[in-house]
Amino acid sequence: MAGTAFDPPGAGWERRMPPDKRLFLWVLLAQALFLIGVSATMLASAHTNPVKQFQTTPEAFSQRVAEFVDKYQVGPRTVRVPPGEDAYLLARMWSFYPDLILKKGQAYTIWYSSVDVTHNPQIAGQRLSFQAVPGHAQGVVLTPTTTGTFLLYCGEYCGVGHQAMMGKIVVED
Amino acid sequence: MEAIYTDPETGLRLDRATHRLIVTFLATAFLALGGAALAAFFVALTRAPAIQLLWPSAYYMALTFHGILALTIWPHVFEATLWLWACTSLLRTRLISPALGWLAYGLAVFGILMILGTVASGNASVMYTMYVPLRADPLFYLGHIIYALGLLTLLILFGLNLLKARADGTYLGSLPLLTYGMAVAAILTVVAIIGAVAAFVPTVLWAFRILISKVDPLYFKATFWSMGHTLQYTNITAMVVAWYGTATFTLGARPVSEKFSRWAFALYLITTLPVFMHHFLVDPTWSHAVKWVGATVVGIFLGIPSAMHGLAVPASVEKTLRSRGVGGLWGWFRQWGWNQAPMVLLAFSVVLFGLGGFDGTVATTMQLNMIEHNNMWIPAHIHGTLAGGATLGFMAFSYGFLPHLGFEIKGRRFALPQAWITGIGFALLITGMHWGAHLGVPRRMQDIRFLGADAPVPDWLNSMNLLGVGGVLAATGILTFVTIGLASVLAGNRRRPEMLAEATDLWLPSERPGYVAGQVTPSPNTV
Ligand code: HEM
Ligand SMILES: [Cu+2]
Repeated sequence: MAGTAFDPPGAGWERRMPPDKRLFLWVLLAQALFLIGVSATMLASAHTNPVKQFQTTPEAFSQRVAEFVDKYQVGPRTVRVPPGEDAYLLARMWSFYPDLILKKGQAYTIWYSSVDVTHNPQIAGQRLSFQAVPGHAQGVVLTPTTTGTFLLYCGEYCGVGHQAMMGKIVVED
Repeated sequence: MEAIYTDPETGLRLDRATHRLIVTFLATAFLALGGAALAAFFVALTRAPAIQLLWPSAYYMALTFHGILALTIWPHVFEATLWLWACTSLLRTRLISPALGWLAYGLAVFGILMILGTVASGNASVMYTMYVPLRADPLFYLGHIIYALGLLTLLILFGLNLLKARADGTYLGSLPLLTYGMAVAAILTVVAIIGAVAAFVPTVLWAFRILISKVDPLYFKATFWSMGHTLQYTNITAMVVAWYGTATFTLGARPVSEKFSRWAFALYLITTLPVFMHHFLVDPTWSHAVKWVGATVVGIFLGIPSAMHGLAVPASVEKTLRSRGVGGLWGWFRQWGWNQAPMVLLAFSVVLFGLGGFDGTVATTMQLNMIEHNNMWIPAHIHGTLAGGATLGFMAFSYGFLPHLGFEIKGRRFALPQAWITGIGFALLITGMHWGAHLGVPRRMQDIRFLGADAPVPDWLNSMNLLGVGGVLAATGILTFVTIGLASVLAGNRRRPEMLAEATDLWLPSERPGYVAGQVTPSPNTV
């Protein structure tokens, strides 16, 4: 079976590649640069939700969430976030706390963190997904553009109650 | 004096000690794949809301089994056979130490049994990713370490054998393309094992509660993926080796350009290393700029070597068919071999891998990752690349490799339906996953009706029912393959060894090593 991939290559294999192969390489390089260009443009033109972060501890973050809930609470586990204020969302086995009421058209920073394992709040129908990691807080900037009630569920497997881990965001006019 | 087998089709030879080791690894790999497919039945039937077979704890255990058998175990055990074969038969030499090979096998199997045992006990339903601080039985982590030590031992044997072959001059010039590919895979795996040490040493201490009381989740995830995603490139490299091997076994095809293919292999070494960063696009770490360079830019370049192989392999088939008088622009496509199991699987493998690679490039793009992260897009990517791509490629290769080793394919008439059912099944499975991803269906979720939700749940059940249909087909196809493979191996080797003694007796009868002589009469090996 001489000359196949089972054999050492024939003499002269290291010579220049045939022109069609070289052309193909240029095409591949061009498409890669094009895609990078598209992504860079989107990043530069702020089509990307900005994120911020800080180091924390489960205790410190729980404390912040408790203060936040105390200040703006409107129901047993519901908070109406005034425009301009940051919102806090605590992830733990197995719920998101508290439920948030936001106003349409206002930019909010929602801070996520977890007190136990890693969770991943996802907003149903909106497909926006950021990680909630214990010891790290992550602030996601978003502007609600649709009114309604949105289910929050967890996208990171977090144990046997994973499918029961839920929360809620309400967007009002 | 030693017993040597000669394959009349290729003229390649293999000594009995290496043969035994290769067959043992191969059968073990088939068992792992069979286990993965069995678990997949339960996984697919639970994710299809029309059935939703399992309750939460059982589902997460089944999915942990599926991920570990399919990703952690099956491909690497199969690659062990490729490494052993590429450093012996293809280099016309023997193993420097079969005992070291058996040590590798023993360690790997011991580790595997520890992992599977802890999962079966119910104390390790943490998925194959086991993100700290989820806690599993400490033996679960220890099992991973022992399994990795087994693989490392095998790689040491592979490296030593390359050196020995070079020193003995059993081949001249450069390595055969497939050995070259497996050498690249070996380097990637060793790099991955460095990540494994960083991830698992602290974690196993934490699990046993010795010295370490906390492992940072982001530290674990970074080191885990610096191992884990690099290993996916081991799988891809081995898959490409299997592609070239399949074309050679079935058609006697030759690479269209050795240089082009070798460049493509070598590029994996460079583009792969920072690739783990794409697991962090939506994690609280690094700035957008760092993530963008480390994940998006690198990820886009990563597609280049795969696209090169994806061109070179079909091109070698086309060229071979043309040289046999197949004419017209698309004649080669019509004559591809749609009635031969390995060629059907090869075609599905190339196409599904391309699709999975596309999914990966999408997911590694900063803006799109925020949308697709942790939804069904990720399993779609995995089943394109690792299942549709690598697994179907390994299956195609096996249909040539088993006869090459002297085994008769048992249940031959089931091979062709098996190939089509598996290919179509995975295509449907992946379609269901993409559809689900489009609607935002989360991955690793036992109940997507979200019982007890007090907000509207999207209308997304049908996508996952389609996934169920494709899943049952794919799992049936894989189990058929595993049955054929194991039955063929268990029926025993039909080949008689010759007793040979000289150091050069593994050279091909017709060739001086390193010198490409004579014309081959290709003999299509129809399955
Ligand atoms: C035999 C047919 C197969 C079926 C029906 C199947 C089905 C599935 C499904 C439905 C999921 C998603 C589960 C979830 O996120 O809840 C999944 C996950 C996965 N599958 Fe498969 N699969 C099959 C074969 C394979 C093969 C051959 C491989 C790789 C060699 C593979 C590797 C994986 C991996 C790595 C995951 C991710 C597991 C995780 O999220 O922890 N599968 N599979
Ligand atoms: Cu969770």
